[in-house]
Amino acid sequence: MTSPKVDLKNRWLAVVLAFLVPGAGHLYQRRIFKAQIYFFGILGMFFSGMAMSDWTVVYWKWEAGGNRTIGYFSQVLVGLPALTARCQALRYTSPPIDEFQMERRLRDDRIKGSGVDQALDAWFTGRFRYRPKAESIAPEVGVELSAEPIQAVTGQISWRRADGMYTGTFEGTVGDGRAVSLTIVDEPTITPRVFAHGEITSTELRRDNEKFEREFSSSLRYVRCDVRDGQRAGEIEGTVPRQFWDWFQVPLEDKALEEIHGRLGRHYELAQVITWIAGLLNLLAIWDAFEGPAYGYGDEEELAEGESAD
Amino acid sequence: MDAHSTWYLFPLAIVISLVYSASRYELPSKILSRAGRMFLTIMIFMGIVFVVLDTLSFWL
Repeated sequence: MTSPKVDLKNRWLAVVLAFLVPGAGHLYQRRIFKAQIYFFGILGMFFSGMAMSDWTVVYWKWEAGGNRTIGYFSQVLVGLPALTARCQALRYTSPPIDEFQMERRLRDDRIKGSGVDQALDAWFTGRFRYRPKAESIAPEVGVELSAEPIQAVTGQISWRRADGMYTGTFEGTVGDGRAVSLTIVDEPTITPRVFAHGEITSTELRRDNEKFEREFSSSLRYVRCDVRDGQRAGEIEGTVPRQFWDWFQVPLEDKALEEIHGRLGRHYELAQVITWIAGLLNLLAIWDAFEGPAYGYGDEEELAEGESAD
Repeated sequence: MDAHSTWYLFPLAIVISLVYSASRYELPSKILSRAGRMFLTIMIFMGIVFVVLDTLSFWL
């Protein structure tokens, strides 16, 4: 019902604005009180749901016979805060799927090469270990193998791919403060750049007494490289940062979903439902921006009483 | 649903009541009074459902 007391201005523009940002259409129509209710209510609900799920519940994925985010059709009614998921789905660089990679992908999301990072220059945090010396690989009988210690390491890592070859360096310090300068000698292993909730567990450089706990992160990328320190070979394993726009609302892999479901349990489903409700509520707000209040201005009863009194 | 999750009902019901009422009326006072009434209705209805289900599950 269009109330004559409400100036809807250009109602089609109001609809578009109301869709893009909850409350924006009403702000355009100078209906400030309702704009505040829609903006804070709907967006508050939407982002609360996202926060409950560690910011993983809104994304777009449509795989034949696989993960299909049907609920996104409800979430997207919130407008811009969910529309970005469509852009992220286009940017998403899924791990390569071929016969050789499929099994590996199911095991872990890490990929080697594949053109994901032709060049990298980032701050690295992780572990470093020299490989055993040549004479200790085939020791004489009675001589113990010399296990090289695993050391914490931080520093700047950079590489570049040219003519199919990777060249790069690592400049940093090990745990005791000693400076190290390493040369990358082989194709590095790294999780894709545009990716969400990838596994960053250190699998190669683990200490004997260390408890194995799988770690997942959106803001960090797993990296492992074979390196050389002068004549000595070694390896580094750790993480480099991932930019916010390279993980926010990026489609999730099945393994990531499993981990989130296992950790958050029913709270993940609850977060999904909350974001769906937020989208559906904005549908009411969009209709209100187009048609005005459904039952009228709100003073009809008082007017009717006043008229009868007269 | 564990007891902890049940508390999410309150903010959910508040937002749903406010947004629904805002889409029905224009006057702020009317919106707030209708939202308050709707919130109470939801709470009473959910309370009844809770009591019925709790009673039914007592013997399980």
